[in-house]
Amino acid sequence: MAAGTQIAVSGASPSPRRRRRAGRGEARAGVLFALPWMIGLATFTIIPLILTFYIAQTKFQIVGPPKYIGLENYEAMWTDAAFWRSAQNTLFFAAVSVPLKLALALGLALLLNRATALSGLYRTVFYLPFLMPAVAGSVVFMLLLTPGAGPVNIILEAFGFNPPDWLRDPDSALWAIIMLSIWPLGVETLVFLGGLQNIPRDVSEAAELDSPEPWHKLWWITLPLITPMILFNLVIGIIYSFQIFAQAIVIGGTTGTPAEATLMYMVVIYRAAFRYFNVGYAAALATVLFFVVLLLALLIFRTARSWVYYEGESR
Amino acid sequence: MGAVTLTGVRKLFGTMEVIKGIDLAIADRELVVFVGPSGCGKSTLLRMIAGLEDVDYGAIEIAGRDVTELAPALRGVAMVFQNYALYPHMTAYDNMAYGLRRAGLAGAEVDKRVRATAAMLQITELLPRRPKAMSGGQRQRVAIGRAIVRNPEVFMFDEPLSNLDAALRVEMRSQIARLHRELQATMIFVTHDQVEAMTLADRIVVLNGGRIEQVGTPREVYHRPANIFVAGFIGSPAMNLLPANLHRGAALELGWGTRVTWTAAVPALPDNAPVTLGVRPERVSLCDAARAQASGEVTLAEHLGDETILHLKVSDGVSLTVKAGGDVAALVGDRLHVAFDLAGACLFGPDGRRIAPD
Repeated sequence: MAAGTQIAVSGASPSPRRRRRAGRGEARAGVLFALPWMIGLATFTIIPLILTFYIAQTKFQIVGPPKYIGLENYEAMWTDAAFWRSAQNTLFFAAVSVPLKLALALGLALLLNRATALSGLYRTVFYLPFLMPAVAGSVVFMLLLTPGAGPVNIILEAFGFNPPDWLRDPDSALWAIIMLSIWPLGVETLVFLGGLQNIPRDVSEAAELDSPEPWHKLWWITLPLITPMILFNLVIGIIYSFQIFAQAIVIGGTTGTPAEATLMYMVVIYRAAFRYFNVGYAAALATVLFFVVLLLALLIFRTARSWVYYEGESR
Repeated sequence: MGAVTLTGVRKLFGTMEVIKGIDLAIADRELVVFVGPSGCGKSTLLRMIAGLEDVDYGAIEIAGRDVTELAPALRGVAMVFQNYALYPHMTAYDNMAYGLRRAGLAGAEVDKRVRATAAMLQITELLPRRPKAMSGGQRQRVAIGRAIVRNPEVFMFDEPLSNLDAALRVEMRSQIARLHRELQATMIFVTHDQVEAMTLADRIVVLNGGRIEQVGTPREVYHRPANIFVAGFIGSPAMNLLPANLHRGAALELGWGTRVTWTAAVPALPDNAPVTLGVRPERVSLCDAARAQASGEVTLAEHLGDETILHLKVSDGVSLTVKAGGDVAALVGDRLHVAFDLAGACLFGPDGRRIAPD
């Protein structure tokens, strides 16, 4: 009996050494499986990133080797009016477009979440603009907003308004880009919709029994339960908003017309690299952008602990 | 006053009518249980009373008010769901306080009511916890607390014990019965579990295919089933329903040829009218061959300790269930003889309705 027990015990739990060896084997297999992606990440992300940090400290004009100049490119930014103007425009664009886009996408998702016969069709229709290339979308917007011939101004004038020359008026040009960037909100809407459809029906009904006010349910129950989706859309939205380029260059060109009102940070980077061939300065601008976005993302993730609810957590 | 009155209530999903004209009056402080097979409409009917499903035709009154078109939160009802439906991002305290806060009650009053209810349900220690950190039974107690704290006119329970294990179900069942006594509130309870229905209900509403088959006390629906459906649905194991022919209102010729005397009064029927004899398994007893009214081969023997459930094949298409003592050692394949105690038996007419006893 005792011998049998001993055999059973040794068979049930392997020795620590054997367990360590098995663990190492599993870890090796895991690394092998992940290796293609690790190589891809290193080749296309980490190495270019490090190179960018390096080139930012050089004078590099494509032809000829880069020459190390320390922090001179960063110092040049302080006196570069285009840097400050584009930073201001980009910050304003991000501060307005991200919350606006999130609010609209959430509203749309709430509407789409109501089961109707045409739900599937609506979902497809609202996703389609995302599939259109940004340049093509920008050209369509330019046609829509053309003074005199564009339908937007024709309709506004028919109702007695005096619409601006959207793309040539410094006060409205940036708003036109904001409108243009908000238009393809299919992805954000689908992310929110996924979150809304994940809320158990009985939880939603319990909220209806607790209060007759729909906004109570929205504010206290629905929104907290989709905070992971809000966080995702917020972070991705901020990253993309700081990288706004195609719409800005189609509408404002490389000078940000009218009067630099549409001059965005990415356009300044593009201009420095491919118009003035000052790649070192462009890399310095890109490095600053990288750290600003990283800092913002880290700040959001830091605060997320207090306002994001994850289903798996029990705290 | 938490009386509930349903008048001609109907519900359609598309073209399919799932609730087919329900008339029902639930008295104040009554505990009524809706039972029926899956898809009979019991949960839909409860949800219509709560306001979670629209009423297509008819009217619902709660405490004398027509609530047919009112929002759920304005009907004075509280509901306990099968899956608890606690707000997962809130603590037990916040779950219970949520409805009160939204109703605009002062913080001190909210706190007083939540803590008093928690003490009554012995869940005070759970108040700081989120649902994820609770067991199924604890979550269900919090869900009941959330309903109680609102002090509703009518409590509704939608299969609240289905997700609990057997021991916990018994405990929660007795707790709900105790709450009904203490709160003196109207309660509507939906279940497919007959034990829950029989032990909790003041009255049972048996539903089938969107219609009420019978409304009565647990004793009435068990001993005086209105029709063959109720007879077959209520009771576990189910009542034996045996084909027979009634001769001159006094003798029954059972399907396998045996004749038994029928003494209870029956309405006038044509001679040799086809009827159904309903005998509960506990009214069928094992006997010797000389006194046997039926004999059959054991097809299944369930030894449950204190009792044995035997399934006999009497003739082609006719089976019998016998509830015998725990000491009966019959095995599958044994041939057994049985006799019927017709004192508690029911007779159903050709249309399936009970014709005897009255």
